[in-house]
Amino acid sequence: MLLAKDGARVVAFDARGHGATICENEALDPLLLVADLVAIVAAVRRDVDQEIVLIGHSMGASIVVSAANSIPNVVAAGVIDVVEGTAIESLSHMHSVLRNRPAKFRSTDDAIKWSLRSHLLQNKESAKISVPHLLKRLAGEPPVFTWRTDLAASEPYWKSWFEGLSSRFLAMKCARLLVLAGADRLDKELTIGQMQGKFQVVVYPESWHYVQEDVPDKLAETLTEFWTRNQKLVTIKRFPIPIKPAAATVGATAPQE
Amino acid sequence: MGIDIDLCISQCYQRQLLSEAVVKELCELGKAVLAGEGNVRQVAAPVTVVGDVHGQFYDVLEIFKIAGYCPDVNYVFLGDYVDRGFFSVETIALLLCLKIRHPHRITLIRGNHESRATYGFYTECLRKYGNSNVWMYFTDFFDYLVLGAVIEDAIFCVHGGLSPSIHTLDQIKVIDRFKELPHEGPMADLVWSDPAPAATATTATTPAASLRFTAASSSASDDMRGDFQISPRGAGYLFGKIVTAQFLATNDLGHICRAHQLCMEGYQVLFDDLVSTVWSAPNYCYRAGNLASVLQIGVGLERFFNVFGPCPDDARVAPNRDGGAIVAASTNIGGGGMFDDDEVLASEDIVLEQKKVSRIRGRGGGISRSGVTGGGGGGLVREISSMSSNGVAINGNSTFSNPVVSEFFL
Repeated sequence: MLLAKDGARVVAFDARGHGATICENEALDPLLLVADLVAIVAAVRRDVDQEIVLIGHSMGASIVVSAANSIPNVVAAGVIDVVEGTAIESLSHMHSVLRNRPAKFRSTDDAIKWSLRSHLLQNKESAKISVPHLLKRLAGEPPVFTWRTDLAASEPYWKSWFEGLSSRFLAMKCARLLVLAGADRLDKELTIGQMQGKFQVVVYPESWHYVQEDVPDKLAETLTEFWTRNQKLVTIKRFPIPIKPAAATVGATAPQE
Repeated sequence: MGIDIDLCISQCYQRQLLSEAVVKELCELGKAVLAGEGNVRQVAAPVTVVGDVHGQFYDVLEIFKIAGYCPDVNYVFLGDYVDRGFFSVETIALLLCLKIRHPHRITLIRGNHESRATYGFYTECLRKYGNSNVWMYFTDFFDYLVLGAVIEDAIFCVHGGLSPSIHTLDQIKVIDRFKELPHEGPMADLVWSDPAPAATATTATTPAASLRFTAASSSASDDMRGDFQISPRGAGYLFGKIVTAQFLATNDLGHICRAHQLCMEGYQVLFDDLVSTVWSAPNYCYRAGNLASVLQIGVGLERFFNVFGPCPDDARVAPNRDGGAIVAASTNIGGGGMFDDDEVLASEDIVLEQKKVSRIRGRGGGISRSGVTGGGGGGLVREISSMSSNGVAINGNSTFSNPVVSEFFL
């Protein structure tokens, strides 16, 4: 809502293999997903002159970062809570994570409760909105819900999502933003890049991985500020300071002995 | 109630945590000392300038070993004392004590991390003291740090860089600095800005918006405005060569010495020697694999970038209460290829005038291609117990329950 007030149009879409989108090929191949993103932006934008800001979360960030240089007039791109080094290290745990989550639920309410209890999400209001779309109902009675996206099947693509993410992030020509949950644990490439001033970092220590759901208001503020600062027609703010102090000098400078 | 500042200093050198009550008292004393200093401190040469240290306590000890101890050597610290490293508390405590003990021999400039907005320092204080009081005392003290210094009326020292709102040193002097760092404005710019990368209008790393901004300025009067660009960091600005030259000319200065940006080679000289960056945290975050340096300025303003690598592993103690990662990470510095030219991220336009003297001290005089090995001190690695150079006896067993009243030498 914050973004809309400033005149931005926010588009969030169900990617291939997610939500209500129906495709023949549901493979989460990053090449396909990048092509999808490029095509969708081209379809929804007003014209080539319209400024585009891309935001990606976790795996979506990898897609955003790969697509940014191929889409005309991207002024800014934001990555939410993914760092290449950490992500690749955690891939070995993915299988046990997938094993430990329930394969089926009796209702969407059960799934929402599980998401909150298993500390996936913190924000109950947000979970009620987002979790049902992660499920699909199987045919038959009584109702059985399962996960819409087959993450286990996407295993061949896991590594390719994250490999080279840091260097692709730094290679984007637009303004770069990295939003992190918990603490700013960066890999070597990002540590160097950040300390050389190549991108902005915002940390939300109180949030968990789904930043856009746990702290939506704060994130919206950050994104608004990120976008407005990187718009094309921005002028540099100059603060008026008197050339000479009006009264007596403020604080004598003590010369070294 | 008095405090034995020499005792505090010796305890700091031994990396002992000072008690909460002592920290509180020291911060009050530190604030009193800094309250009397103007925003821009005048400093005389010879002096050694130190860039970001980020809580890398053992590397700060390395700096003192290499360049000399305060007060034998005058120091200007450019800020960013805390965050990222494992010993932010010990680092800032040591510098605070030195400032109280030798106020005219050490200058402490504020960096963008000397703020309540960063989390690393806060969590470290919480972990080491069990509550956030010490963090509060230190962050209140940070509000008093000066914004800059001028060495011999020639070299302007600041943490980040220039501001579109500031043309003269007098304008910096009238800022009310005794507060938390603002998100924007001149005070924020001074601690956040960076020199623009070379050929900035056409490199791939600058935001698209800046292309329009610099291209739009057509008249001569717009040249100065056109030389500031939005910074990728999200705060401060990128400042170019023209506006730098203008600032120096207006203020009768010759050079800007700043920190804030990691240099793989430890330092960078830019804009035909108008600006230099000094970076003093080797192997930053225990993983970046970079060198560090301090800038030693002689009486005649001769400049020497003294480059050094991380403190050898056997002289470094891994923190026992913190995560065990430090031991593993610090051994990465021995990895091959750390000193390869390919990994140097300096741009082609950087003038490395002092390259001939950029040797790693204590490692046989040459840049080691085989990586850093432990113990390669060449006499520079001294045991902590013998390092005090100002005659202070080190007593490791004293407590704070009976503080000795002592007079300060000021």
